[in-house]
Amino acid sequence: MRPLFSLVKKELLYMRAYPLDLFNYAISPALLVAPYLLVAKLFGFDQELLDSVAIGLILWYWLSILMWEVGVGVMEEMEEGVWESLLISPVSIPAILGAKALSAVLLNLYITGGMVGWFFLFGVSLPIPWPQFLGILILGGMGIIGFMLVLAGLTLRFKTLGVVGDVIQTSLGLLSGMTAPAKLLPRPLWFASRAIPLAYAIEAARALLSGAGFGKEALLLLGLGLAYGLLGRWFLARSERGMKTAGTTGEF
Amino acid sequence: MRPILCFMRYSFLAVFRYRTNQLWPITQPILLALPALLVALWGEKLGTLESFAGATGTTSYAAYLLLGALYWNFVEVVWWIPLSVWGAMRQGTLETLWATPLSRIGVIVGWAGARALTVLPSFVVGVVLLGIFHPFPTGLALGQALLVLFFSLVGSYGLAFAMVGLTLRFKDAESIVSILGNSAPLIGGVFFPVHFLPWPLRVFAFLFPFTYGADALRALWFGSPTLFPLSLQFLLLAAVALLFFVLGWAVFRYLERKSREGSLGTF
Repeated sequence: MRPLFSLVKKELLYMRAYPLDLFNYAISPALLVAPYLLVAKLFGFDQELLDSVAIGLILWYWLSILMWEVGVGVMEEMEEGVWESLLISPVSIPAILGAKALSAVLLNLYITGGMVGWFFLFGVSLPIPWPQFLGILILGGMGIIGFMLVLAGLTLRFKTLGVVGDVIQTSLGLLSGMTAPAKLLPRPLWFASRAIPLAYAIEAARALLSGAGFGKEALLLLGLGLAYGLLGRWFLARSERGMKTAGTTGEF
Repeated sequence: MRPILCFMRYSFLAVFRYRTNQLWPITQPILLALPALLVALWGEKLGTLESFAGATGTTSYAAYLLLGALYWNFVEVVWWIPLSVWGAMRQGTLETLWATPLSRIGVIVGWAGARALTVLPSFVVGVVLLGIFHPFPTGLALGQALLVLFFSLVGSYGLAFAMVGLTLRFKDAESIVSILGNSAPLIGGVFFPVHFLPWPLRVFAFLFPFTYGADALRALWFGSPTLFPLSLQFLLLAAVALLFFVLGWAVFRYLERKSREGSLGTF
């Protein structure tokens, strides 16, 4: 456990070293997604629908941060040329990614706080039972982390995603119902959305918003997260072996 | 002129040699507009299209939202300059670049030109595709639309100059560009009329050239109601854009001088 916490501390120290980043995270995420809230206002959405859009946007940001920090997070170490040093240290890749995931969850909680504050300014009050919603955020985060381990395996193989990363990030959000319910999508896309943990997290949060408690979505989220976690762990180990066999650990 | 063109070519090749970067100009406006389009689709299904038409003067919501995204993609292209400066700093080549006989403005124009070369073709294709959803403005309106794009770019350069200065002085360009780049589409109202913004942000909106640009472009394209009479709006756009340009250049010169007093080579 100690190496894990040391790595988490390292990630958090980075934040202290670049305070402008923290300032940015308090402002940028909310203002980035706010245009979609205002498009909903432009269409005359009532308070309940606005809350529903806002919930989807908050959860989509969880996915975005976890994707860039865990799914493709090792890209940064590869680019800086410290990846091999990390590999020969007595810390496993899952521990490195676990530390990134933990610090990303903390960062996400900070960002969510900022977003909720900004949304209040836009007239979105989010009357949601917060302890339960926090539970969905954490549960959703865990499910998404499992999903991101698979992506991390791909990063080990292909090194950089470039613009494909943006496409994956938005596509996963759209399929999961970040701005509008996934059931509005054409049938094949709706089926695809059933394989994304974020979709269940958004549906669970929207159900909570409408007064229902933890439903079957939460259970599905847990199950899917576990399944992806196991699949990701296996794929990661395979990709690590592949990378070492091909001798591409130092390449970027 | 030749060194600038050479530098532009080098920057273009450096960006374009990566296949995923070649996709970026096409994917960027689509990714920006798609979440908004889904909200609009939801609104249409719920029967609230009238509310949209009442505020915008059109029912072609797809064209309305896509025009906003394309306009933003066009304007934002020069904001890659501070990121290029940041990249050169990280790679340790900035001092070498600054020491070449190429002028500062030459370097900046080279970087911006390289990005424009990648964005312009997709912008043209996107605008042509918009014609499927809604007819093009013609005659005088087309000329005015081009003028809007020109002045928007002038204002955008001003902001980019200031951002380059800030990057040279404070190094962390990603955060600076991120704050500005993420808040500008909202404050400039690229997807909606700015009177939908909460009042504290509306104050900022009126200081931004893009607010007048996006609004005027929609008026010319869809006949949407404008913030001010169109002639006054043109004057405001030109005045704010030129002010941004002059101020941005002054900020750049000042901060660049400061950075040369010791910290230019550090990162």
